[in-house]
Amino acid sequence: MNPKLVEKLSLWQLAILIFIFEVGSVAVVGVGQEAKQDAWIAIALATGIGIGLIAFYMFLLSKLPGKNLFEILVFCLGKWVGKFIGALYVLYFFYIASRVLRDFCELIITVIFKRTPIETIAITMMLVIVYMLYLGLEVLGRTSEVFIPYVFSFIIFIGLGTLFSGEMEFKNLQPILADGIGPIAKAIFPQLLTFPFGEMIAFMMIIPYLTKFKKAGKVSIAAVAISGLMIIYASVIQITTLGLNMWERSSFPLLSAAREISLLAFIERVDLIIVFIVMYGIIVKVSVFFYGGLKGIEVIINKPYRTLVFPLGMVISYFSIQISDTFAEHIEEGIMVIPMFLHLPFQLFIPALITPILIWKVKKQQRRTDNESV
Amino acid sequence: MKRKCLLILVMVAFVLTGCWDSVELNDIAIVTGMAIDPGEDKKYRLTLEYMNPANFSKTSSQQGAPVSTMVQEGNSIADLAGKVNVGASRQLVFSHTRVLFINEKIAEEGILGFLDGLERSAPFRNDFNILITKSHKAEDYVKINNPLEKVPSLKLQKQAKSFAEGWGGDPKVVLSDFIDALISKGRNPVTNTVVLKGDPEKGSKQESNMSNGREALILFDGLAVFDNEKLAGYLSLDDSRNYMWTQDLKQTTLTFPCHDHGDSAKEKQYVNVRVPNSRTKMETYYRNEQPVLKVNIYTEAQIIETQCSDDLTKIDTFKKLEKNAEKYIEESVGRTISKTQKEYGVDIFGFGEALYRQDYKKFKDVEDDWNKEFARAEVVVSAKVQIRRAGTKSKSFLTELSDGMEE
Repeated sequence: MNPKLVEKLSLWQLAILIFIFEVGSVAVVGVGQEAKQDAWIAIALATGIGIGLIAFYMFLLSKLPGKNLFEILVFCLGKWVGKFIGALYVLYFFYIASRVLRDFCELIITVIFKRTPIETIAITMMLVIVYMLYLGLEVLGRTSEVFIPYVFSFIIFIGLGTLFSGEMEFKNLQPILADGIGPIAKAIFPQLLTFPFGEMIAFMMIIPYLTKFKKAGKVSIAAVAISGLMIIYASVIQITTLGLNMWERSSFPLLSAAREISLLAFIERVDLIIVFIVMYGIIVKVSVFFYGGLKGIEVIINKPYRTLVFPLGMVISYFSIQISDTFAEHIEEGIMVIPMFLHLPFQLFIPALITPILIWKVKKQQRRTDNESV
Repeated sequence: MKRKCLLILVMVAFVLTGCWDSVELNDIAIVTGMAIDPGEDKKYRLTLEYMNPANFSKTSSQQGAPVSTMVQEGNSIADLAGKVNVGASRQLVFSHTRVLFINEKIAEEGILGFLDGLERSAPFRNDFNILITKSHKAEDYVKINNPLEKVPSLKLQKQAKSFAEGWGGDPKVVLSDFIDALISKGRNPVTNTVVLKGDPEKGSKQESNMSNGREALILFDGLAVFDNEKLAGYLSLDDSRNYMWTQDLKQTTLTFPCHDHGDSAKEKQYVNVRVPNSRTKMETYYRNEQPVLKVNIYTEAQIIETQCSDDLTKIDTFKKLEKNAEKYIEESVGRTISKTQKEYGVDIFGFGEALYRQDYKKFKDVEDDWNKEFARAEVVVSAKVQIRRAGTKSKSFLTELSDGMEE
């Protein structure tokens, strides 16, 4: 009755997923405002750190091939503690999924559908994601393969469009390093480090299901590097086109920048393609987090996640509305609370904590198998 | 199984229709221009100009004015825009607004009151011209007919564009530029101004399009200088071109005396050049605690008209004309800058921003009273003009004439 559940991803699909996951929302909401006109330097440095992070996650995964984050937690910390921490991760993934969904709904409500209730958008969007995950991870991967040329070329086009419309003022990037390295460091830690790069922790639930796990490390590092370049590109567009002040005050800077495009008095008002980029970016991001959470539940209760997709999808769309009453609350939580109290522990501390345990346990296991074979 | 599929299809059709925010075309009217006057009892008096689409249709020759206007008073612009259906039949769409006219009386009191609404709202794009009206009510400006352009605001926007390309007289200030300049500590905003000549009563009638002369005409009239959000005063039309020289003027037509003979403007002989390409660099620095504002202008030009008898086939003549052009540009741009320093004491040129980019630390020290620094600064304008060619004739017949007279 149910179509067969396919959970295999190719390397190319992984690279695309990482790219859209990183670029989709970040390119549009704009990051690194603390670093002012040096945001692109901050992003470049953060990309370096991001590469380090994904390499670290890959290292953890390579110790126990074929096991995902939750199975690693259970392996390291034992059944009960491992499952408890796993449950926290599930909540974390679901919470971030609903936050990301809320971001998108706010954009749609503000820019396009002014009279549509936000719930309608959250639910419709979630239905698409639910359907995709119900059919399995591979569907997400293949859909992304279809959409990547558009996402990629649209972002490139925005840059060329603003450039040839004569709206870019490269002097907006000056003075470089005016206040020294301080603001850049502030921008990187914790904001840029955790969003978007640290969020790749969710990929620890996906990478184990690759067809060619061995090459996954190199591919994901390359994907992160390319995404970093793309985010730099997008932020340079934003700063040069809008000017520092406008950029800092815009809720959706790339959208505002795209509004300036006017080519040959003919190609104008292209801001809707930005909405398309965000829309697909958000679908991928919510799907990846949602999938991560579902997989976690699968490990905890030992049942296939499929039956839970629809009910939990609806819970996420409900929470995306309930997590904050106002846009200001939503944003302030995102800047003040989330990076420090959610992102850092879940993305860095817990993985760092289990690393020595993992290495030690793997060695012990190997020794045992060695002894047995002798 | 089949029933389930059917159910899903029905559900999908239900959620994917996307009709929630749908608006039919014949329920909307497109706003092209806005004018803001001081209200009598309330804060603002807003006039909206919107198009009558039937008049633009090619097939059916419908009668009626191409645009219609709606006037009302209220305390905030958004309130007025929302309440406009007190008299108008259709929902108004603001995304194609072309011109915003602001009465100078409003500008004198400060225009912060409604800038935020315009910037925040999603429908308003960042491509409408902001113009200060100097005579009559701003309301009249959105009503003046013109036979070439049916919509008054579209006429004004096209006029601004052509003026900028032909003579370089429009600073091309849109909302974001204005707000940027307002916030920036190293720059103050300017906008273009318009003045209405003639009788607005007659000019708003369709019959006025039947005569060859214009009953009423809207002209550009120099720049409005703002001290923060308040109108501080005006610069003349010539000054506004000089202002544009400092702001990367691209194209213009320049008339300057070809030699120093003659005293009054009427006695002098002139040469006229077309500038197809020009580049400006601004530098601000401190020399012994004295701020220096430096403008470097690099210009290419070609001669399009001369009243002098100098031989245009000689290198020396080109050299001499280049010298004169440089002198003329330096003097006139310098004059405008010093006039702004003396009369208004506000940096509309963005010298502060130049300092911000070139010497960040110094700017941090003086940013809070940059305008005072600007007012006492020394001005250096240096122009470099290269006259490349002289049109389709080499020697002017004037040269031949004067040669004949000498013999």
